[in-house]
Amino acid sequence: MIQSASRLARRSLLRRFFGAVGASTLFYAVPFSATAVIKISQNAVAYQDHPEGDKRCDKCIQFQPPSGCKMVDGSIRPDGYCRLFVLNKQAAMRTKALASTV
Amino acid sequence: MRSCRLTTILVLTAILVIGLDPRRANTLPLYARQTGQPCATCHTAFLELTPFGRRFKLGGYTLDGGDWKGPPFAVMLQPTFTNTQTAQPGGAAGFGVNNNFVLQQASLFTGGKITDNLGAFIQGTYDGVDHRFAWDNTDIRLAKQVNVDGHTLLWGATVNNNPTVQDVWNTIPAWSFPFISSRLAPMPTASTFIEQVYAQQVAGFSGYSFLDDTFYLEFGGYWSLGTNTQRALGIIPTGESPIDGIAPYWRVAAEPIWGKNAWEIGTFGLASKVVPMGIVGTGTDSFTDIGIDTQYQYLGDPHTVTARLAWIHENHNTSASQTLGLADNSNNQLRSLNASVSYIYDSTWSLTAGRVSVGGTADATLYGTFTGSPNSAGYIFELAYLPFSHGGPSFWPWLNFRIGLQYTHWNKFDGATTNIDGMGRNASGNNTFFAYIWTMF
Repeated sequence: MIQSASRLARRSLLRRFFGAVGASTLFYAVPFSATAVIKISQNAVAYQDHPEGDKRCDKCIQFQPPSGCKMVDGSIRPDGYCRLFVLNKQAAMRTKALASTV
Repeated sequence: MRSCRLTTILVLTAILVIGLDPRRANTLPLYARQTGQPCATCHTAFLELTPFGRRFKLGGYTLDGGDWKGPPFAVMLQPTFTNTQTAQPGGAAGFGVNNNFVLQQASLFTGGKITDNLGAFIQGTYDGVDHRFAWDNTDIRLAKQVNVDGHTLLWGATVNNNPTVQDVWNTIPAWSFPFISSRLAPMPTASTFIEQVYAQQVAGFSGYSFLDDTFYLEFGGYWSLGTNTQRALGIIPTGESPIDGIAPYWRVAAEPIWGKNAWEIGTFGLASKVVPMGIVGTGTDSFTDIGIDTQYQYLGDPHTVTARLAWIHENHNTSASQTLGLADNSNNQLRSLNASVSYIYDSTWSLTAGRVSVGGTADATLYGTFTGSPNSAGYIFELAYLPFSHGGPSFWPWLNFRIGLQYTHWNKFDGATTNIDGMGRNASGNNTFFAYIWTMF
């Protein structure tokens, strides 16, 4: 009886082990184009292709020139805007300094 | 059998971790520090999530963008004050009969991004009412995004310890309004199983997919942890009715977003065989909880409105409990409603009104109420101030508070309006004024 219970437990363990191996194999063998970093869709952050007042993507800490964003998927216009906007203070100071020089 | 399940989790986790991208993140900064974003990006007023917050969670907490290189921890403190309309005879859980101050919870969090595809939310909590430390909500997830014929498919897996804790909408039990309640005020006796009965007593594994940023599908299962494991994690298993085998859990939802609007509609559920009070030999009870929910958010600037609704129906076969003398009926039903509306100004002020109710078949032995009825219903009103949702003070920009005043008015409590306990106490005696300073840093 004990032997039988132990065999059952072993069988169950093996089943789960192979199930886990199968699941993870499936996970890593995706036959489609996988994106390494998961970004958020433009729709979810209400991205727009024009500025919101003086808030624009190229003044945001997440902007990646020339047309990317660390957080939002797809092509991003420097003069676009979305709900994630956080002012990049260094970039803003540089712009201000340039403006005063001119 | 349970050691077998634990082994399975360990094997699965090991395989997944071994197979991960070997480029590990140097640190595990928590979410605001990790992303470089203020609280208001993920939360309309914490802990309610924005569409971004939901996708951040579904993406496995992996998105970064901040420059924080420090340790991956955060702290939460919840000092509270509770007043009930009528004093509680004998005191509230070892405290005074009324007007109690307590540090209700002190939590330490860790997690965040581990690799590009693996992240975690791990909470350990000191319970200031029970005076003990235990593991709290935990959600470790692996996520990946693929493009298939022009469609975006985000898919992943979660290991967690509380049915619905992995969910991203604020309608389901783990994250629904009220987001904080007094531990020292009387609460209705009856609740459905999916409403936190198994929180931290179980382990669960589920796979999920999120198609085209709109359609969500999840399926998984939960099993009870062994009593020794629970004790090791700080949980006291006395009186639990453990799951027998694996309890399937499912979730289907759709959330279209247009302009400043996000509207979710979905269903969720949990079903299981249950060993009543852990007493073996008389068979098992069983339950099936089926919920439907919807959430609408208007995300303006500075005005935000959220409306939430969840309704749960439970069919509870109590034949084993009846045999053991733990229930009068061999079958019971419960229905639970949670509806609320919040107006949030600039992620800083939040005003919420909510309706909660539970009702069903009477069973004096099962519920232990004086009337035998499980029926309770009330309204909850809350005003909260969150001064630092857009960024904290310069010395610690990630500090935030939710300072709240909450009032709960009970129309009915444990089946009655008057004399709810046979000693003359009325439902209104449990009306509760609750104040808190929920602190996160």
